[in-house]
Amino acid sequence: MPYSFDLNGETVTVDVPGDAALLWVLRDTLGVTGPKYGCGVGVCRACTSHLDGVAFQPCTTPVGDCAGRAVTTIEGLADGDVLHPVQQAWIDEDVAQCGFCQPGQIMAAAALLAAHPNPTDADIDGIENVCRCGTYVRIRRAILRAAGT
Amino acid sequence: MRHGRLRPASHHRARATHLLGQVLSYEHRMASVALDGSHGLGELLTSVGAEALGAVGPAMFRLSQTDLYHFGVQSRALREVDLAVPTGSWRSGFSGQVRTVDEVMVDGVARTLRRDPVAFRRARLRSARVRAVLDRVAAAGPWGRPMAAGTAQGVGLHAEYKSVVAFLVELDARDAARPRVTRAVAAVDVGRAVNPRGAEAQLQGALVDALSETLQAGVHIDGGAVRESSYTDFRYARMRDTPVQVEVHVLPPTGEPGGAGELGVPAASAAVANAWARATGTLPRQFPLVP
Repeated sequence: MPYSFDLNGETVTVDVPGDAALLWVLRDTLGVTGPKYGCGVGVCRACTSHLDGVAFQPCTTPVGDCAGRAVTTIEGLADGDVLHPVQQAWIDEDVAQCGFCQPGQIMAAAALLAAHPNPTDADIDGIENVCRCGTYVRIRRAILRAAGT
Repeated sequence: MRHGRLRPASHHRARATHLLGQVLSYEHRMASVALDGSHGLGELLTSVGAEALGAVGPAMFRLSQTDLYHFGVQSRALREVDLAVPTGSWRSGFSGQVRTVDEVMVDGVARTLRRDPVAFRRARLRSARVRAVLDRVAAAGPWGRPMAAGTAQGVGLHAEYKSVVAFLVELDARDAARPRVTRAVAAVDVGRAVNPRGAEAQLQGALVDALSETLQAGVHIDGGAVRESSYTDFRYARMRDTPVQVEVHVLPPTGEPGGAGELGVPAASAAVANAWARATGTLPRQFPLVP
């Protein structure tokens, strides 16, 4: 049946089974490929996006649960041509290595800063996203830099 | 984890003999599940005739091992056993295991001789370049600063790819189930850093790989099957496992460019293992240290 939700500021309608994981609806049905597939069970968090402004994992969220709500992916984080402070900090700190987990890392960081504008190291330690390049050192610095902007 | 390739498990025996404070001989024997390099190690090994030898492991082992110290007569040998386990070369190849064992042994010999681990290394290093990176981390630490009970510093050195590196880490082992590296200092001489920020990033990443597999991220075989299924139970480091303070000192040019991508793992693993040993008073004998 058709499901409608807000995706990065525009209403989209998809005709898919309600229990389809949102990640595949985004990637395969809608062609929004910023959220990455890593584990499929909500632990690596490479697909991290925002649902009504809160970080969530589309790989374990049925599309039916998103009806009428606002989904933001990495594609919708910037304000037009103006990067989100977290994105700018990522560039300034030269965080990315292979890059695969980075959309999820950035979305997790943006959600953290929305809830905790001046995060402590303990707050940052709460981010669970996996990075196999080990960019955690620069992720931490980028989050602190974004908090200062 | 269940359908990929595994870093080959290995068993090591190392023996040092000493007399009047001098190390007379050092012998290191490694038995390992055979390394499958058929899926693409490329020019490095084909250029030394690995294809003709029929196995990549022995050639890669010979190429990668060097004597860092004046330890008298030295020998290292690899015996591979084919157990039909899907294997592949992990970052730093054999050096990740061999050099960690070597550096844990260096700390062990220093302890036996009642010498400070850094001073002991310094007096026996063959290379001035290695001494320079060791001196840099020892000064930046600084090495030997007072540490609380259950916490300790550790050092590790490595030379490969025409580059040399030293790591000094501080580790908090007061929660035995969740030891954490709280601080790390690396110094690297890559000959000439073409991209210093890139070199720094590689050393930071190597530290995360090293502390993961040294402390907590292992793959277990239960009844012939891989236990770990995903990042749920394969405990690769998350943000909370990584040090808040990390310094990487990229030294000024000393020669032509060397490699940095795989360089950091052996020295960082050794530094973590040695710090854990000093913090817990327990000799590292099996990895990961938190089984």
